[in-house]
Amino acid sequence: MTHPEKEQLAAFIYNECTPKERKLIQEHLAQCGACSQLVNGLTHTQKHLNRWTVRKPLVLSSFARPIAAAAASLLLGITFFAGHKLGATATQRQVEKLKPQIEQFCRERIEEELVATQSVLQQGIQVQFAATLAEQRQEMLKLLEIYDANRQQDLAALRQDLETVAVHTENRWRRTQVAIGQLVSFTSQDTTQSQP
Amino acid sequence: VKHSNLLRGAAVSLHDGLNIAGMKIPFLNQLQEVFSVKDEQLMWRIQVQEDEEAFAELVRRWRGPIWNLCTRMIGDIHRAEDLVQETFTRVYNKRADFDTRQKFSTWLWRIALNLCYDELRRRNRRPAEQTSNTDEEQQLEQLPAFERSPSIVMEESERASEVWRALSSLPESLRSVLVLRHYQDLKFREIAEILNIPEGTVKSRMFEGLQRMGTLLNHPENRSTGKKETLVL
Repeated sequence: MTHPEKEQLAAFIYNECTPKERKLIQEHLAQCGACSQLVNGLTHTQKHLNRWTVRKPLVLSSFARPIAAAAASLLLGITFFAGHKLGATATQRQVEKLKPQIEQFCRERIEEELVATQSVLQQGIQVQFAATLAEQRQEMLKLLEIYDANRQQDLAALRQDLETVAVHTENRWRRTQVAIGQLVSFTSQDTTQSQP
Repeated sequence: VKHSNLLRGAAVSLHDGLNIAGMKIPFLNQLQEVFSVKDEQLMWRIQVQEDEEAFAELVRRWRGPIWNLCTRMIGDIHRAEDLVQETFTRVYNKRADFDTRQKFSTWLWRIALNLCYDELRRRNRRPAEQTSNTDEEQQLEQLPAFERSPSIVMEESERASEVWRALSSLPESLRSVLVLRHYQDLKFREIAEILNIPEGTVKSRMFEGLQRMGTLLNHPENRSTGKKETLVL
């Protein structure tokens, strides 16, 4: 294989080439030091680019805000209570001792709240799911009705066409009968004239 | 519809709440997908009924990716926030121009990218004003203080600034391809649609962008010093 094009190499390092192309490039890289070095350089740059991470400041949605606020006020209340209990003479060690307990208490309360909300949500989902199903069924029925009406129309049109054809055929048939009658009468006259 | 939107909102909010508590429940992600309507359908609702809820849903879905794009393109999280607002304002104002047969994301990326280009051109016209209000001290004040220790924050900030300085010295055509492919993880084909250029051109620009970035990051002295670009995190 000749040296891969730069477009092929870009697709290669971003895993966007076909398996066949990938295999060919890999085989080439195993033999070609220059290309191998180039690809190594590019992948190194890729890693370098990943050093720039951006984090959006946390913004809570309207529903989560009350939960977070409740949790924060709970924490504040407990801290205040603990502070009051310990008094001004509380040592740093006592605070440290109490900290994990407070943390665990808060965590448990938040977990309880969340589990409760989750169960409410699940119930809601079931209701919603049933409603969606019913809605879809209604839509399907409507579609079927439209389809049926169309079919009826088609049938009526077809019947009309067939009747027209039948009328025409009947007219033609009568005319043909008359023509045959005339032909027969002509033929019989010829026969009587030729007999004497 | 109102009921389902409420539920969807509740699910999202609960998800936020769970993230804060340091827990993750995968079923909630699936839940969101069950109720999800396509972006194009939402756009259709906005066009036909001026449906505010549909618009809010689109904003909720795309706010993050667009913010990321703007931040990577202009290197300023606060200005990026403004650009996100401008993008969605433009989406709403130009809703009649959107053809629901085309892909919404392509249209949206294009709008956001054009706003980023405008912003970069504005900055190029008045670089002094840009650098005057973003000195090192202010940058440190603006960094989000939660979760990370100051030393980690400083280190991350230095690394990020290094990459940003190199990226900002690339021409727009290479920068946009690099940001869309590397940071936004879009496929070359999608980028070609957004930028309205052949896929091969996107790939060659990507190659060139990476090569130039490699040179700039390994040899920062090669960077053009005409304009000082400061990263605002």
